[in-house]
Amino acid sequence: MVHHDRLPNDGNLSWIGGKTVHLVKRRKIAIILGILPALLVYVVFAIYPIIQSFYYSLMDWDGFSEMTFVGMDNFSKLFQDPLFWNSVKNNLFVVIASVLGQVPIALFIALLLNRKLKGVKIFRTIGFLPVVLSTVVISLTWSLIYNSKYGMLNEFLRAIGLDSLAQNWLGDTKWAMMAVLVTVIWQFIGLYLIIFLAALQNIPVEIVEAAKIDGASEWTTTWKITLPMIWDTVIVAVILCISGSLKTFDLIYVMTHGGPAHSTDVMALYMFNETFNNLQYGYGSAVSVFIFFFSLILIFIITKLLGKKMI
Amino acid sequence: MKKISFILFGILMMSVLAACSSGDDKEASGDGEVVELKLWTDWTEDRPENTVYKDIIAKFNEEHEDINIIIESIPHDDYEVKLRTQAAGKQLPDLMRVWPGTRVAPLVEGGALLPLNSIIDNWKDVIPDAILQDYAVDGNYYAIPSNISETSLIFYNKELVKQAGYATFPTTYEELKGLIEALNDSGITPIALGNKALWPLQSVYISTIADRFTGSEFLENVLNGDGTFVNDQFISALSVVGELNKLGAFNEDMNTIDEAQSRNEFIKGSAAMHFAGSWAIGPILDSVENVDNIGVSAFPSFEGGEGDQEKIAGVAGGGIAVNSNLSEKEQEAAFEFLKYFYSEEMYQQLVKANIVVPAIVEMDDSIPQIFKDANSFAQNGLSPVYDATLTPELTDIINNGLQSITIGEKTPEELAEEMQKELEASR
Amino acid sequence: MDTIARINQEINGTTSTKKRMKKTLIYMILILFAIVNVYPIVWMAINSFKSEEEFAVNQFGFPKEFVFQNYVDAWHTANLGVLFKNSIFVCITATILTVLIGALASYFLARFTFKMNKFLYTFFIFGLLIPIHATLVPMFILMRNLGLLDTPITLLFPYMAFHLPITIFILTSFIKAFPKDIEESAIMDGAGIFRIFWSIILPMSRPALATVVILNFIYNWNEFSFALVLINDPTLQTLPLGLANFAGQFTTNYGAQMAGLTMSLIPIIIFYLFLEKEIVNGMTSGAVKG
Repeated sequence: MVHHDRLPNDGNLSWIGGKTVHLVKRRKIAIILGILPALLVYVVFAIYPIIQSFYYSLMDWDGFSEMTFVGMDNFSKLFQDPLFWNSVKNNLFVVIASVLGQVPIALFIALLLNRKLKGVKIFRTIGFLPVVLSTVVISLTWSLIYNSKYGMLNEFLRAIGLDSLAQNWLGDTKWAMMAVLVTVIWQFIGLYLIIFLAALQNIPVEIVEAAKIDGASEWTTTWKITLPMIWDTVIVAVILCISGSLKTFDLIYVMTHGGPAHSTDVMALYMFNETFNNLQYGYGSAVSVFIFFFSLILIFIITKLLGKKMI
Repeated sequence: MKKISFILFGILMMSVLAACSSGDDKEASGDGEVVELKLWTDWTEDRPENTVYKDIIAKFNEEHEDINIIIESIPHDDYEVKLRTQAAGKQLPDLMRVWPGTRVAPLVEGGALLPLNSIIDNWKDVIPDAILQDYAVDGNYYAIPSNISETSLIFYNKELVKQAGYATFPTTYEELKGLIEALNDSGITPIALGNKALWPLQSVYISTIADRFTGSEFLENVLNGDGTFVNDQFISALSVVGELNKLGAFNEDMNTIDEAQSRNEFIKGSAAMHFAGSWAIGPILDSVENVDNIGVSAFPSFEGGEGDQEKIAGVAGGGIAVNSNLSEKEQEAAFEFLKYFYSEEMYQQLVKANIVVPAIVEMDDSIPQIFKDANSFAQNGLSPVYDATLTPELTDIINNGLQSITIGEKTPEELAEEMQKELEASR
Repeated sequence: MDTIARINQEINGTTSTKKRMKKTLIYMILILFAIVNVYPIVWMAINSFKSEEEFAVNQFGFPKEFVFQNYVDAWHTANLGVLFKNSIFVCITATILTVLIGALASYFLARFTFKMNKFLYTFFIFGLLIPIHATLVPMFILMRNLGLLDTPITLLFPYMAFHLPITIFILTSFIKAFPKDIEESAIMDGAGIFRIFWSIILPMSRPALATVVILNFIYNWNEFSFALVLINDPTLQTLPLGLANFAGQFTTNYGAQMAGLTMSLIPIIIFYLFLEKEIVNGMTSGAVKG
């Protein structure tokens, strides 16, 4: 039997409860059942370990002997440690470069690919490949590109007569960070590419066509219609980008170990070194605590900025 | 959607079954009276010494029905991470590969290792005590070295050196500088260096150079508080690295390639010299086109240095330590194993594989000249290797500091002061 | 026909030359993009056929002789057969489980209002900020206490826990965007909540689901640190660990390493191609037309 008058619909299914008392209970139980599995796994295997790590940050521990409680000592040491602040500075470069590099380029390419073009599928797959590669391969190939003697980059510069621009890309503290950044950006564009592509698929074709009929140029359509419609996804991408770059470790570890002379040292690398090489578990954990809260604050600020723009 | 989920579900089911069945296999191995000891090593590389070790262990297992040694190999670069994580979780293996000096000290301090004093006399006349000391803390011995790592040898291409005008290899630092200049003039890279991992400049270069300036008691004194890093001789030693760099002695990409890559450059003939340790002997002999063209020399002497100009930095090589948490039966089995493993036979086989050993071993003509030469340098006495003697933090500082010197970002004086500051702060 | 075409042209405001130029430009950009992306893989594949000696002297060009020994070496020394089996099992299982429970949670977080909603959502998102290496030691101790070290299912737990945040993040945002009346007809037909989830929400989320499946699979496939620390038994190791064995302290068998890496790349690419269609498929039937 079909009801002809529409049920009150505020989009939250909360009105299901309005039917009978049983349904209210069922709804609550459903919510709990639905979220519980994820919550359980997450709390036990992600939250608990990181809380443990926060606990270690209050200790002085070399991993073998007993721990001694030192309170906030690790943190005060942290704030006075110039090498640590160096890693924070480098990390900020990574964040800014990643957000300004990965997201716009991925968006641009996604927009290019979102049309009937011969071979779109191939380009899409290729675009995604770097994300799939192991950091070992990426590090080896890019190190070869950057090699100051026979690397492709310098060879290319020399071939077109720009000898003076050829640098010791990975070995010079001036350039190492930049060189590594290019590689980091390159690695993850593909990730945001597929996220954006998925989002672009969601835009109803009718709207775009309607715009065309109204005489809008492609540029206008993109700017005034497409972008706003996927803006939420753009924010998602930016947040993922920031959180990812604040944790960045693998690629830099393999490419430069944080050198030369700490010029590519980032927070996660610094933490790793302190914990596993210098046997300062407590201090290393303090760095982790910092990374966590710093990321939190940064993301909070950015979302406020971007969120406001939306409305 | 349904089809895909079905397929995925099917794969999942099959994998679960496969995993379960492989789980069952594990149950079958626990026999009655056999003592099983797990040994953690970094023997993942296809090097001759690793083959020697594994062969001996296989033989041991065969000959001893009641003891079974199980090897678990972890890549060298990840070994420490894994070992330390397990240590932090109090889950160390029964037997484990360790490195000497300050790298085994934390394990000892944490009470994780079993002293080997009761069986140490087994090697009394075979290995000089000075070398056994590398694995001793407070008078207790914790591991037996299988080899000696001489860290400071100069491998050179005889042709290229002769072409630069030097019929015999330089014996003093001044002469060496002359050779470097001559090589630069003819457009040949003097020294192949791969310092990406930071340790070569410290372990290979500074360990011996510093010793020739400061003498062998310097390090110990400084660490005890009876001396300081801010010492003219030490600073002069650090300056040598900067000086060599300014002379253009190294390849331009020295900070971006690792040690193995620089060795390849030398083998190829792109550089006239390569400073490395005894670990390089095997690979060089294996890969180079003309073995007779390669010579090996000790470091040159440094005028004005207070140390013994003949000594070479070296340290005990890999040792196997025993977990202090073993039952009596397991301890006995472990000792049995160690005695069998570190036997004359093993040392002989290692010598055949071009590994310098702490024991005195007969060498016949099949042994390459380079190896005999390198081996003889050790007879002049071994001086301390810095990263085996310094704490991890100090090692970190000097490693990074040397790299900074090569890019002109730090002076030797500043580095010395930084090291002293760290030392005092940690007291 | 002609008139309409002319009107169309006027509306679009472009001539065919301009259009062709635009297309060419787009192709050029895409091709450049493609070359830059494909180069490392091609390099890796080429070098997997070089012998160790040859690699030492020639790192760029084609191998003088094609050496297949590397592949044999890689397969045997690294025991790749076992590693492949383990990696496939862990990755597929972890991915399926993560996406399932993640989608479930996302559904409720996206479409229902209840007191803890915002808090729970933010709580999950926190997970994105956790630096993994900080949790190596605590995770080890935890797994040891739970008796879960060195088992076939050991890695499932950290993988699920650490990839739930991004899964939930993407799925929630996707599901939230669905028009509000989606569930209406189903409710009126008396469908229960979980039925709605399974038959309506999930199918509609295909692009996002495919995206998170791929992401999960890739992260799990290449994951190294947890696998290193939580697994000792050689018969349970995953691919990244086996491949790491080729890089030693003093020598690296580049040829075999490249061969191993090339081989380990194949499953992911196949997997990705398989799922790629899903990402592109727009909304399926059952959606509400605008």
